[in-house]
Amino acid sequence: MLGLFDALGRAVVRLGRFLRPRNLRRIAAWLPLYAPLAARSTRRRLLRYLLVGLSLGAGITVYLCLVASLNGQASGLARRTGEMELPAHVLVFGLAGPGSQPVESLKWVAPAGPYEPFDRWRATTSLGQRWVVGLEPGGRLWSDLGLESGSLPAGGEVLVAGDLAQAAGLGVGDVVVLAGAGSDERVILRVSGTLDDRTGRSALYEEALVVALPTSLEARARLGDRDPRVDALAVWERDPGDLDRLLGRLRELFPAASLWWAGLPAGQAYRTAGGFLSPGRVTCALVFVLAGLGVFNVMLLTLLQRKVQLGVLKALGAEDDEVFLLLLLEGALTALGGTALGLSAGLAAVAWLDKASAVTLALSPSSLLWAVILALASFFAAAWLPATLCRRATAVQLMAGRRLYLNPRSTCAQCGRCGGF
Amino acid sequence: MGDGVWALRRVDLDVAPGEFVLVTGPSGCGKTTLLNLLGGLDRPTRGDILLREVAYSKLDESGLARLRRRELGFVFQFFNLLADLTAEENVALPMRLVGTPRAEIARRTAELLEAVGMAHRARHTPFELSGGEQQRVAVARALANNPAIVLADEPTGNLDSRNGEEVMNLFRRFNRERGQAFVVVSHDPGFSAYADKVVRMQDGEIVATTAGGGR
Repeated sequence: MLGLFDALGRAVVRLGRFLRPRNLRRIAAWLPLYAPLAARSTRRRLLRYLLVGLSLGAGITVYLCLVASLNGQASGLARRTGEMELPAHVLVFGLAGPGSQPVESLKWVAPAGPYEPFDRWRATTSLGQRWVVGLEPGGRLWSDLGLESGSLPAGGEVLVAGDLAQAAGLGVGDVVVLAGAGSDERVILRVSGTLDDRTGRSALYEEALVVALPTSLEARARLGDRDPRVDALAVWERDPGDLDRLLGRLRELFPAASLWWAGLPAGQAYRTAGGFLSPGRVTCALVFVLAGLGVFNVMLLTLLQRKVQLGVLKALGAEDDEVFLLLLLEGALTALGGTALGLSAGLAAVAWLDKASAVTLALSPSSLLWAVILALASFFAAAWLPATLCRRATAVQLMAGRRLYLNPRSTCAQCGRCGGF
Repeated sequence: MGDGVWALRRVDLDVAPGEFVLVTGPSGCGKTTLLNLLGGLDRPTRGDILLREVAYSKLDESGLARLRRRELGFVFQFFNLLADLTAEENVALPMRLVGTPRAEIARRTAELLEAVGMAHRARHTPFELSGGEQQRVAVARALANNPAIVLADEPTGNLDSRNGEEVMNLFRRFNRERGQAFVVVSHDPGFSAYADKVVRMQDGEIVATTAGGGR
């Protein structure tokens, strides 16, 4: 493993050296000569290079379908949350109960916005069966509450939807009673104000009773008709200065709950890698290893069959790096074509699968970007070895059609039992 | 090193500007190795090669590549034209490698193809040319950058006798007209009539250096 990291480190250093301004100027000077040569060569080996393009294209298509299916799970969650008709930029997750999702699945929707804890449950009240919504005081949803009259509810207080209050003849200071399903327990809440129904968040607030989160949890516990246990709480993208206070409060309120926030190592890793580290995406990315193997085979075959030609080019005065560039350029032309093909095919496949199957598929711009990056990276990784073999071989070795070794002066090359390339 | 296998040993060869040297000898005597060394395609384990006071040993791989571009021309037994390019593009390639202006490339390419009698086949690819025609294009390519020395490895080895004679006549003509030195490797001693100097090799050593016919 250390050897692998060592090799990777050296490759990065070498790449850095290769991309020095002086070298880039040299490459820019070579391009007018070698780009047409590469294009000509690609055209003459169209079928073979088409295979390179198709390998990458197929890789991208499969990758996009897999990622879209993973994203689909996320959009499924978002859709379920959306049914609550919350403001689109706020995704809420928190309390245990029917329909709640495991907190791990949140990472798929993490880029969508911040989270805050909330509670929503069905209760038998003096106003009939109603939703009781418990909000985090000072939270985003709390601040967005449109008051028609009165004030936001403190502990033991309740905010009633405007139409409901009017129909029931309730005003500030009146009392609403919550009853237990199978007990004589009662919770009495005083009306602190009414909610403006025209705020448009009807599904969450319509005919609901809005209370502070601690009041909601306490009421559930006392009435005993719902399990008030909190499994997990996710806090996302909070003001860092505010986070400690919030975490402390949540720990106090929900001692049994596991607490997730952006500062957790998993969250940090997720942020740093932009989701790449998640096992699902890594699995998807493995598709490109297979695509890369396809590219590698075709490139190697194509280059090895042209040993003599490349040797002649060197004999005529082409430098080793120039030959290397020529070979990479040849492959890159088809890799770009294959990438475009793969993106088109992938988008079409995702759109079709989304319509034709029960699975929800969704693509984000970052998925497309990753597909392009991974496809090009797998191409360069796959084309690097064949191109390096030709770069390191001497003109005489190439023209004589001798077997090629990555390090022509190594003992392995002297031994030759492995057969080389 | 004493017990090792020597491809060449105690080789001391001077090629004067404008000289036509024929290197002959049996198969495996080291002719091609000598040519590869002169062309900077291989490096000697000992000794050095000097071209216009420039020692090959002082040059790195890039330096040798630049030297080959500007100072050396190559003609191979199997012609080795680049299959993806037409005859004129093959001739133009060495000039493009040194960055000659396009107009100059076009002029000199036409002139060289005319000189080797291949102007009418300029747009043909190597697959569409006969062996003799390919070799004539290869000669034009070798002369593209006005090299100080042209190295030819068995240039007639894959041609019939008539085409072989034609190629040798071309060499001699360019040698006289342009004053470029030629080192031609051939197992056929009959070509000594074209040379100013004939070098005979055996078992990696130069065993005789004689004057050629110089015709």
